[in-house]
Amino acid sequence: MALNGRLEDLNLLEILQIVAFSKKTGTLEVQAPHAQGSILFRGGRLLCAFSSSTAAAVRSLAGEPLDPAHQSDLESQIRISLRELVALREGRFEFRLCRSLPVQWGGLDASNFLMGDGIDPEAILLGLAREIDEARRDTARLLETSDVLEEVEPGAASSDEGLPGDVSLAEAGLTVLVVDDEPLVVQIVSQELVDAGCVVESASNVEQAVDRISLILSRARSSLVVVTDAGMPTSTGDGFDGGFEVIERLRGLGGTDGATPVLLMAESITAKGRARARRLGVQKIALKPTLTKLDPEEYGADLRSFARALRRELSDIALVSPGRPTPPPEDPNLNHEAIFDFLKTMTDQLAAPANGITRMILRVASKYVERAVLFLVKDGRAIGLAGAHHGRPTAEVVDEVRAIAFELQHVQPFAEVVYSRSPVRVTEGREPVVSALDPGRSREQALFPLLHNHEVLAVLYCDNPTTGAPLSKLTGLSLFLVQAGMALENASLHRKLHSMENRYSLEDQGPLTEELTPIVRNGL
Amino acid sequence: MREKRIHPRFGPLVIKTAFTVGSDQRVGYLTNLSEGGAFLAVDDPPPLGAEVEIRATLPWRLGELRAGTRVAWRSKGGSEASGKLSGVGLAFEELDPKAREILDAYLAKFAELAARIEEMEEG
Repeated sequence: MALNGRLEDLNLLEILQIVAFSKKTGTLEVQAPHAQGSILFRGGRLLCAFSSSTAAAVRSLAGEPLDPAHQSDLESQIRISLRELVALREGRFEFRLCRSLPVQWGGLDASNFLMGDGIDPEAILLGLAREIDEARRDTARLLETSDVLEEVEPGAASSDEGLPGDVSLAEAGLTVLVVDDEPLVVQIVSQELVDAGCVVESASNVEQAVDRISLILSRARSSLVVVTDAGMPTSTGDGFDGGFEVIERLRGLGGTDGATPVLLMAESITAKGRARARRLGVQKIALKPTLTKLDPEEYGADLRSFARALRRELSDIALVSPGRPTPPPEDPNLNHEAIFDFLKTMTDQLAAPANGITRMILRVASKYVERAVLFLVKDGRAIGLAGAHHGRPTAEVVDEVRAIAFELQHVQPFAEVVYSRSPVRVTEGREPVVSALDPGRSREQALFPLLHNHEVLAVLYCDNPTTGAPLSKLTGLSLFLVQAGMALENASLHRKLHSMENRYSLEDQGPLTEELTPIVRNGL
Repeated sequence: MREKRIHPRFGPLVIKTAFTVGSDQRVGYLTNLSEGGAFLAVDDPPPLGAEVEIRATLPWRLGELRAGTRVAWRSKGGSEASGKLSGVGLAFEELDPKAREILDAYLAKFAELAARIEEMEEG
């Protein structure tokens, strides 16, 4: 008999409990792919510990006489070591029993740095568990507050290349209605948008615009963006704010029209006009070249430049629009390269996931399946956080999903994912996994865990309710979720470090002390 | 005075636990567990005699332990050096067969792992 095995089966927190309970003397060795460590016990109490990053510090302290200051430093290093070791997700462990304390331990002379009677394992365990839970709460908050409908870095959209990993306007499948009483503006802007892959329609006055809007919206699954000039004659001819009238009448059409994105063009606009545009839900205001230019060539060049800028703005609007239907999933079997490139770009974006990680996860999932819903796992419950469903506006899906909550133990596949921390595929012929989600023609469902420090922080539900097509291979999605979990942990750590940095700064204690260094180095 | 225990106590543990006292819902940690009760580490412990409903997800895929308990004793904790935790000793009052099964399975697994150390030969 021995107490050894894989950390995947028995995590270090659990091993510490068993060894402490046994009240034995011995050493616990941990060997992971990128880290290792050892913990020394006497009578079940923690005498010392080191990890890859603290070994040097522990070694230097080991040679010192154990005065209170050194003892405190050593205890601090032990806590850091345990924090690092507890965070290891995979690797091997082995507890070796000793009749008495080994004189040599980890290449060190153990007799020099015994922590007196050792540290009470109960307090250490509780402290570690609280730290893990605090990090989990912090990460859950990141997910909960993550924007579902907006880009991570809106400013980046102004570059010519657009956002990394951005979908093109053609991919967005937009119909754009360009409204302006100035024919040259309509012509140049329309041409630019046609070149970008949009379906473009135009109107030169208010009534024509409203007719076109009604027609486009009546088409099934049309995704419309309206680009309108602000300064046009109104329909009654007694005003010159016809663009605003177009938007007011668009908003008055009912249904889902409140979600239709609008980009307002204006040669200039007052504060009052801006406020009115905001009230009407205008996404962007684009200042266009003035008509007072006497040189037609220069005016044309200015207009083309304006049209290019407008195209970028439109791309931004199209992507963040709550009314934009999620595009259909691609067949990864037919498009390996595109999927790989997309995943690579999205994984790169995970390097800074403080905002928008939920949206990124759903965007990747939408490449594979028709519907993806992310559930936060909290206190034994699954709580709908966000979702994407091909052909439906994101905002509508999110509203629907956020009304869903259930106890894990009542939904077996979810409980299975949480307990096994592994993906689960539910095959045809069973009851819908989540009764609140319309199963449509869904015949198969897949559930993926989003892990944080060994625990399932969220579960991603995927299916194809529209076509009922079998789920394709989802390996890429599964790997992306692993990366997302790690990115969330890193983001949580960064926030913690910033918070500590501020605290140190406020306390005027100078730069960060060595307390932080080992944690950073190991990416805990 | 020597402590008399009816049931062997397993610990130190650390199991996150949601608990309810009246309408108050809070979170604490079970730091030891036996067939008859548990210690719930929590700041501002509930009063002696209070009814406490606990919900703890046990490791090793054993499921959720739900139990009706009563505060049998309280500890306000001590200094860090004393290692005395703030919390309450809970006595199980209502354990349905499912909860009993989950609790027994957990204690058996813990004992089995601890026995591996007992049976080891010293190196």
